Amino acid sequence: MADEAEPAADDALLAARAGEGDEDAFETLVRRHGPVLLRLASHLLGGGTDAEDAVQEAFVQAWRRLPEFRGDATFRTWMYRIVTNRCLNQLRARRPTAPLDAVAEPAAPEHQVSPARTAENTAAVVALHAALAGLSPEQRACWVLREFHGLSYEDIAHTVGISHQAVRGRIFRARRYLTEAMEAWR
Amino acid sequence: MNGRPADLDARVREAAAAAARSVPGVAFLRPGLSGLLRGRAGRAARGAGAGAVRVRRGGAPGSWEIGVELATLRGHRALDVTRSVRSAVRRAVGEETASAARPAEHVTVTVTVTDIA
Amino acid sequence: MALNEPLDSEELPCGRSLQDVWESWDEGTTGKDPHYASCPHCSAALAELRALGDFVEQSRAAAPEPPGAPDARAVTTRVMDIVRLELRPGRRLPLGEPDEDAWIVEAAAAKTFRAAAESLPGVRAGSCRIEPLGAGSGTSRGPVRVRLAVTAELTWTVPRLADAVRERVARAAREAIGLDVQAIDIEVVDLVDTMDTTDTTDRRTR
Repeated sequence: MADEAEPAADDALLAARAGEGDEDAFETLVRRHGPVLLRLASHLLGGGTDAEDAVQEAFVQAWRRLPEFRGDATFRTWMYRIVTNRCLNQLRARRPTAPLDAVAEPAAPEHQVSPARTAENTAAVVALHAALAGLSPEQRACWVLREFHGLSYEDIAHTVGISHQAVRGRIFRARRYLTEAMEAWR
Repeated sequence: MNGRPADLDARVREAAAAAARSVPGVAFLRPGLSGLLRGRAGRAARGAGAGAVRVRRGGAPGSWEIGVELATLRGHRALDVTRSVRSAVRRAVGEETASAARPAEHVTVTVTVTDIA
Repeated sequence: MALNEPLDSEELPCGRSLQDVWESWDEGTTGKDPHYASCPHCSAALAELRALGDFVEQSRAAAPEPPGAPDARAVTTRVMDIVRLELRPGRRLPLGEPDEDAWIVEAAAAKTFRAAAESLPGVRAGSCRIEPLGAGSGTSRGPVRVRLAVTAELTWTVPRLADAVRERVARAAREAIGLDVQAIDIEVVDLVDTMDTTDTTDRRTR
């Protein structure tokens, strides 16, 4: 299910070096994981410069916190967590009070995907991305981590910082909402 | 020649930097540690113009304390480079202050290698 | 709020909850339960989920972000510009004799020692800490201890590897730096089949 290549075996080694101030090791990690984290941020925020900013800030935060990184999680999982938290905070700031835990009416797309990419996409794909805007921030994060990044429910719980049970609920609600939103495209 | 003390400090700094740069095995001079550190201390130091070469007058008249931070080149033994830099800087400071009201008598040079490039 | 959510409020006419049906799809257990094949309600519910999965597949196929896409490169550049303003040089270590006033920062010495270890075939270096031997402040002048973690290919045995790395580090300390290293601790973290060194060998010098 995962579309990501397995994190390279020497991530832990490079993270240890980066934590000790080896900026070249850190650059290797940034180059290695930047694309997939940008994909994650784009799915969560709707693409554009917001996603780039979120990933940039997440890496800078990682550089500052690496000396305390003990490697209980892999570097990739750790970065997923930092990026997801940043995106969630941004989404929550965008929609301060929307109670979307229940199935809601489809919301208007918040951010269109870039025109260049739209041209290559089928209309259904555009509709799917627009429908994501109708999910609550946590629903969106859980569903994207599951479907686009192939994370297990356990890993999603760790990444989003909620219980396993809560992840199940969020993903179920997201699927309920999205299957309905995509009804017309089947 | 005998300008204000601040001018002499600047000239001594320039002379020390030029001397250090001319030593074989020096890749480049590099901002001081405090300039590399983040946070308030680092910013304050940068704001005060902390560069790769720090110049301070010692307690006794005619005494100078020079700090140089630099990157050495791979293929040159770092210790040997620092020795050459220390004597080159000491000589340069002596020459620069020779015609000053108070020529340098005691020059301390501290060299820190911040990278081997 | 999460725990109070009614997770099984949506029940299919056959009595199964929609959430359970969909989660067994996630777990890949639908094939083991004959009910799913025979129940029209469950089949329809699974078809819905598969259709959504198809849209996800289309989306992946339509918008692949190849590694090194322009925006990823731009982010890397911006991140590293900031990182290079926030370096962590580590402690200052004494160079030369006790009465000399020359130093090297830990990060620079560590870089040299890691490179020395990696000059051996099939060896990668990780953590490298250097500290004054015996108690003392970060600026005390005296001999130092090096602790270096390495990973290597299975062609190495641990003792041979430790000896070889120790020898390279000692030589680098003597010939490349001029640092008085009196103790070298090598920690062999892992021995692996093959070492992929493709994208760490392009370390640039600045």
